[in-house]
Amino acid sequence: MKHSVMAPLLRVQNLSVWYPVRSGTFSRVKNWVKAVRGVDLEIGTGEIVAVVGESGCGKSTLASAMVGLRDWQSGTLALSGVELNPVHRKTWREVRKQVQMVFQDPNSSLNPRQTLSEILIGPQRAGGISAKDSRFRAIASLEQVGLRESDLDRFPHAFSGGQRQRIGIARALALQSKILLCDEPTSALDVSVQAQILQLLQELRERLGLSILIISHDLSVVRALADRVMVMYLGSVVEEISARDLLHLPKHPYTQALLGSVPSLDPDLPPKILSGEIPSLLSLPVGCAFQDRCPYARPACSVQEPFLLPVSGESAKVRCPFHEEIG
Amino acid sequence: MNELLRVEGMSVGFGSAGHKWVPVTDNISFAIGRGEVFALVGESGCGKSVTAMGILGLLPKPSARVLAGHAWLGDVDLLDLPSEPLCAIRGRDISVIFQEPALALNPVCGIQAQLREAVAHLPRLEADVRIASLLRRAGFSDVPRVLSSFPHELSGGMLQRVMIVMALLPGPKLLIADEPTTALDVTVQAQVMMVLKGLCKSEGTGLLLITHNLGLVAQYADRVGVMYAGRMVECAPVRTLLKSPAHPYTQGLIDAVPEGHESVRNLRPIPGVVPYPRDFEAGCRFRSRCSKATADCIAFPPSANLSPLHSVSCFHPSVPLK
Amino acid sequence: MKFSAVSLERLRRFRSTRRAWWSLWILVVAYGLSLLSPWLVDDKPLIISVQGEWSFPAFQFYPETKFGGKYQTEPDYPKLLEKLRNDGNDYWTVMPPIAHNPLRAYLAEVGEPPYAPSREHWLGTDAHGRDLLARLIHGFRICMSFSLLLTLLSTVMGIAIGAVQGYLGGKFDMFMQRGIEIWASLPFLYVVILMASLYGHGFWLLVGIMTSFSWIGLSYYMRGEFLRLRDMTYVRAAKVLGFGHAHILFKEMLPNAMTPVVTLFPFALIGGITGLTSLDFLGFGLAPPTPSWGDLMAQGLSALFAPWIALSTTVALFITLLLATFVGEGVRDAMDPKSGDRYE
Repeated sequence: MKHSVMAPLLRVQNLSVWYPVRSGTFSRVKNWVKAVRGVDLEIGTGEIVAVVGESGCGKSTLASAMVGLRDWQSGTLALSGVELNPVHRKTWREVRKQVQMVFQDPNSSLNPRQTLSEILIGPQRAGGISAKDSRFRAIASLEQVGLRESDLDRFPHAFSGGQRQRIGIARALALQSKILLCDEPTSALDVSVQAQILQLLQELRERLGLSILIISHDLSVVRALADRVMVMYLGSVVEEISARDLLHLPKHPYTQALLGSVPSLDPDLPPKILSGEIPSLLSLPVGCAFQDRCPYARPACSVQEPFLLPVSGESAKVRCPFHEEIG
Repeated sequence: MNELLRVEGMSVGFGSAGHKWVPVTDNISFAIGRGEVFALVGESGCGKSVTAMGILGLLPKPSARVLAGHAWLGDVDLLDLPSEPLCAIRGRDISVIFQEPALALNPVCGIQAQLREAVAHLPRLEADVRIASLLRRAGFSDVPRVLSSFPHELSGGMLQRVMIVMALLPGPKLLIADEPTTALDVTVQAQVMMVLKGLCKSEGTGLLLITHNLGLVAQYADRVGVMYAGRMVECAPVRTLLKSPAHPYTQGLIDAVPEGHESVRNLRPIPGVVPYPRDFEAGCRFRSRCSKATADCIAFPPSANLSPLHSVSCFHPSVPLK
Repeated sequence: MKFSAVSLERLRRFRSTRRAWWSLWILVVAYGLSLLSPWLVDDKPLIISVQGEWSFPAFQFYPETKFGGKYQTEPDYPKLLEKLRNDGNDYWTVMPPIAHNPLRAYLAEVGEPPYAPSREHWLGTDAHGRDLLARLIHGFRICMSFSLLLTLLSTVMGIAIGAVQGYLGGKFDMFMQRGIEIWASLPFLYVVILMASLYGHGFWLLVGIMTSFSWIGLSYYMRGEFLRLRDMTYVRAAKVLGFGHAHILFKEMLPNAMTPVVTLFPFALIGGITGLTSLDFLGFGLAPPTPSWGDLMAQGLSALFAPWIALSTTVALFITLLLATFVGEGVRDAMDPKSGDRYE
């Protein structure tokens, strides 16, 4: 993990995203689904940060909010130390110049009726780049991801799933954004292709100094690629830890459970089974969100939601006051 | 081994009247024993689901059909059976679980009604006793509450466990599970797989597990068949397969899993892409992606038995032929 | 513009449906020819040469004085020709293939119209003595033009309103939808009668009124398509890539929402033809003496003793609608090939 005096490239502070639950004749708001609750996130230049969690943990909502696809309830966003007002349209124009998204399903994130040249050049033209320059950049970015100039005239369905995901990455690269926001970039792909994409991302970080935020449910993917991992459960970050420590020193019981339940390739390492299921976001328990499934839960856990606090002597942060006793 | 299902030389083709049939699977053979978990593993388009659906007679007609082969369940050849007796066998002797439990259950019927339907041949009281006992063994502590719920009131993991119970209620000899946990979260996946394997073992039901996840295979399967581009490339007990894979594709699949790697730099992805059925080449279909490929591989790869239970179809298997 | 393989495949499938492909060609050629009917089906000579001097009355205006008349108005050519013949002038003409004006009553010396088919009037005449074939051809031109115009306008309107509703969603969609429901519940025929009694039976007025009702059906489909497309990842991607609303609507979503438009177009065309014909039949359509099939049907019904009127009109209408239906069927199958797969 990098520590520098300079402000991080992207900083999100205390971000909350709530969805209204409407019902009745006049669609009055009856309740709120608190999908993301007070998340802080920083990405430095050339850093790969991962957000991990299961369905309903808010990781995808977090990503959509960061590129302006969702309205926020509260929170601030700063690019290179300059705070931006999320209400203003200008903000998003600025964000989109620097932050681009790679979507989960490469089959649906590329318009089936557009050729690659439309897909790659169109967004640049909309950003005011000349026709000649944007074509040049489109070709350069195609080559960065291992495709050729001759592919520009083809339609997305002429490519395999892995190649389509490369096109999705090339589209972001062509805009020369500094931060790549990848929402489950490999979960729609086959295992053998998945590794190709992961290596491509790693390569791009090294070659172009890209910063990457990976949203994933797959701990093994994240551990191999990221520098820093944030584990989310039911809308809030429960642990922030360096990828190196994740495997050996997970602190939060949920992180441990998540690691333990991944079926290992070694038949002699059976998965640890976590009881219960993920509760509904509409009826969060008072206190720690994980208490119902936590094997170490104690009465104090249902009194107040714990804070995300730094672990003494380490760079990690954990949202469990008893993590030292759990070991 | 007490053999339950034996598939011999099964090939499935897709096409239409007037066009040539494109074979998507080619000469698939394997056997499943009583209470055994056999996994078919492979990437998308390798033909694992098509094989399972072919055994069940659930291929779309007329655009797909079984071109050759037998699937013996006892002394009945499922591939040679007219649709009516086959229909009677499905549900009684063979059950299926699909990927999306929410789509497999009727949203407007209660759980109890749907479970009772699966054991309609039993007297009501006997049926209810069996339902309750299976549900309890599937990890539901509050059985009456589950029975009185509707599908949308249960989570994905619970629904899949209900599906498992429903599939096992008639006491089938064979259960086919097509990617049963792909739609579920990882912490829930472990629960569901434990229930699936535990119930199959205790009921003596053979399980054909179709998956792309090698981790699941490692944890829950007894024997594995690895499929690539419509062919079975390797078949072995799970430990043998994972510890000493003989086929380069099996080795490649294992190396591509990020688990246990500190950095993606250490990963060894398989270059290239899985071919489409219409692009299948003669000879070994993996040769264009294979690091061991030689001129020999243009010929059809020989099938070799490395041990009584371990067979591989390759010119250059990693373990020397005895 | 490069067509995607999906569109090319659809075109190929459409062409491989022989019946639909031929129907389309017949309709297009027939309509193309009927557009020439003001010149090809009229009683003005294409070329007339009087004493070696050529004139082209079908294409140009000539005053009567040119041919020895008294007035500056256009001559009545049939009378003029008769006069030239009777006077024994040196002249020759090239007449159109069907040399009858659809508006002219050809009254014979004996009997009363309608006259039965003859060498002069191939399909006979209507109750006013006007040539039936000429009226059918001109009626086809007007009917098809009307229907095409109506379908185009209502398609554009349906797309625009449905698209905006589906794209914006929320309150706007809710209020628009209620508004449309109120509008759709207005009795169409009353509105036509009311407007016609106030402003007369004009072509454009009728197009306007019928358009204002017929866009609604398509707008429902488009609204659905856009609601579906709004959540497609590539639309979200376009937003993140910084495209404006107009680009997203027209470049990203519309090309993917054209299936209902194309599929419904032939059937909307049929609707337009039958709509105009029935209005004309009832007498609320285009003002007489405009040649119209509905008017001929009404005449045929009241003059059943002259079966050639009803018969030829019905056959013409039947063939037109049949061809258009074949085209529609072909388009529908090309857009959505039912594989016919079943599971046993």
